[in-house]
Amino acid sequence: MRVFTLAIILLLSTVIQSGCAFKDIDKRILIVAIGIDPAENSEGYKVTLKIALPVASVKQASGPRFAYFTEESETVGESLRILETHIDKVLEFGHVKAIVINEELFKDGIEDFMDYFTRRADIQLIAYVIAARPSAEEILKIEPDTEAASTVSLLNFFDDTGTESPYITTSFLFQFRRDYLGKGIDSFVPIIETNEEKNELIVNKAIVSGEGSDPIVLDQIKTKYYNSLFKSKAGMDYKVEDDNLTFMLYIDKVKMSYKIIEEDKKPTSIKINAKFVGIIGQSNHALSQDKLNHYNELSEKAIKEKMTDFFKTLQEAGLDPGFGLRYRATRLNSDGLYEKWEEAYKDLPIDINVTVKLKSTGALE
Amino acid sequence: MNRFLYYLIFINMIANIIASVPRILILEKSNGAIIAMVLGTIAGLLITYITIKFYNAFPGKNLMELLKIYTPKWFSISVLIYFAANWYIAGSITLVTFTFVLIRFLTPEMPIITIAISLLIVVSSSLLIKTKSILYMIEITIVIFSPLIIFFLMKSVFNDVFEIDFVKIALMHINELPNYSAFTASTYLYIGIVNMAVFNTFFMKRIKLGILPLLILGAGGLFVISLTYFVPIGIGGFDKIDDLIYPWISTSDSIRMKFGIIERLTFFFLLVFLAIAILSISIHWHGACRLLQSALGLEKFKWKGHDLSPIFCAILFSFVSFLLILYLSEGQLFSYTTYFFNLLPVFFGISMVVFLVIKRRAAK
Repeated sequence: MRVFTLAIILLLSTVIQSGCAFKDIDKRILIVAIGIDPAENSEGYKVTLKIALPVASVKQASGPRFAYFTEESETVGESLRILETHIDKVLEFGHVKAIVINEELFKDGIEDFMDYFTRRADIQLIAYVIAARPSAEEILKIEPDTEAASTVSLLNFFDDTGTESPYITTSFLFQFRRDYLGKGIDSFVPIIETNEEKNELIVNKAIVSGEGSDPIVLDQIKTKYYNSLFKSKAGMDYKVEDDNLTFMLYIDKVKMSYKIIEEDKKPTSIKINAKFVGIIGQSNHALSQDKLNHYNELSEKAIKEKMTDFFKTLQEAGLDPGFGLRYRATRLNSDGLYEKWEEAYKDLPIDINVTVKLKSTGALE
Repeated sequence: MNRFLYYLIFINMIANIIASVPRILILEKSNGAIIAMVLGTIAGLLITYITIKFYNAFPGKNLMELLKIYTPKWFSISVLIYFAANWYIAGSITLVTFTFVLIRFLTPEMPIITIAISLLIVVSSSLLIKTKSILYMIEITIVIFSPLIIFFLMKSVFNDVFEIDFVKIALMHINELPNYSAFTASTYLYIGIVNMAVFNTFFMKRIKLGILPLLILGAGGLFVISLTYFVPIGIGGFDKIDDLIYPWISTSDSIRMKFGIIERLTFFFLLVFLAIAILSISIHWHGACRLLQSALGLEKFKWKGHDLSPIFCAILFSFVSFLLILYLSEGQLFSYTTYFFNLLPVFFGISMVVFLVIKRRAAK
């Protein structure tokens, strides 16, 4: 009798469960990406939504199908509320995987609207933050030729399951927040561009921004250095030139360590040790296996030059890839510790020591 | 049966990851949280030691029986009611917090009443079962969920986005005087041991209290408290982490399972911790119910041979919690939780006095 009563109660309790918190999947629409641009006519923002449209089966689909909606308003939240009146279905933000922001917006007041995305608990903190050039709306509307049904090209760049390249920076929403607001570290966000025909997406630059300093754009080479030094992304190519010999290194392992040297309780220099292991991938002359040490030295010189250039650019702009964080992490906390660092950082000498270890000249001598 | 003691302690430690403990610690991150955590662990261990030692003197007897035998009626009733209230509040804190978490993160469109009712039905049923079944329930839950929890914790620590420098910055605040709230919150991790008051009936043999058990409990507590504090900081950064209301839920949302069944770990995390939370609430409420029964003499309250007192407890507890869920705001819940934690030393003090009184009278 007891079991029977319990079974009845359990069965009855299924009545109040109707899945998806009372709204069926066909009454919902999945947003894949949100784009934000400055408003064209007034103060505020222009919000673009990229919405994935369901297909009955992947076999029948000729390609991916997306819908786009745009709305201008004073705040991002308002625009999204208005957009709810443009679409007959419930906007489902749980699947937003990319927040695409116009590059211009990084210059002022990105905190204003980034707050909205972390405050809304249904938006994933593992969504990618991407800077768009020339505008977020344009980037979102591109459907590249290589895009297959039921995939989103825009996301494949960043999720490490498709292409993997040292030119591509990945920045998650939570990472952007902690680095942008953190003292002693600044956020690196990839820039996504397009070609003239608007059928390609190109990701090989990055924008560096932090609270209280002007953002700078890193070119391809510097972006590559950032990713391989700080994110240990392998597969990077280096061009080494010496007289009439030019060869390319193919590096598959990068290891960097750094520490802050301090004298009289004041930071005096940054000491960086970097180790590269790899092979020679391309050369305009015949190479000799015995002269690998010579090639090592040539490469060390070339890489050191590029690294110095990379760090100097950041330093001049007052942006920090994480040195200040290390400084704070290795000293007992005291009042004014970070201020001391901030003051010293701009003209702190950087001492770089590069070791290159080439294993082979490839399949050819 | 000794293993159940460890289950009781560890299940409460883990349950605190989703409750208010991490937030209290993080709010005091530059006010001496580190030293407070160490001191809190030592204090918790000391309380655990004393409690086990006390119950070892009375194998198979729970606190209600001991109070009845050795102390005057007015004393035992007031102590039992005070204890029951504490047990009930401890369970309710987890319940209300978890209801708020569910509505914020898992089912934002569901009415809060539905969430509250479904949780309350499950938890109330734990009042109606035998005390021994609660122990078995703990064991089964631990067996099923501990691999998942270990996987989850490992996944968050051994992760590319886990930035060790943030953790080191947090550690560098070691040169500050310990903070009281952080201290009591860390002590709260060891609250599981107080459940011996109800469960000692099943511990017939002496519980061994050598170096090894204490080492396991101490190391375990230190491990859990450091994960509780450092994982959100390593992933969410040090400087603005105090803005997050549920640091651990946000942390779980920041971890990506590239090739997992679902990419977003939060849902997985929430479901696992839902089980842990329900278990923790059940233990506390079950304890509160037994204490209340004994205090008010509800055993005589029978109808056709059925004991109605658990049903009375279930209705009373659910009703009060229901009102709490409806009328508390998140901010109020958090500040009341902090008051409750801050009053914890009083609770432990009273426990010690009770232990002393019983021990003296028993020795006569």
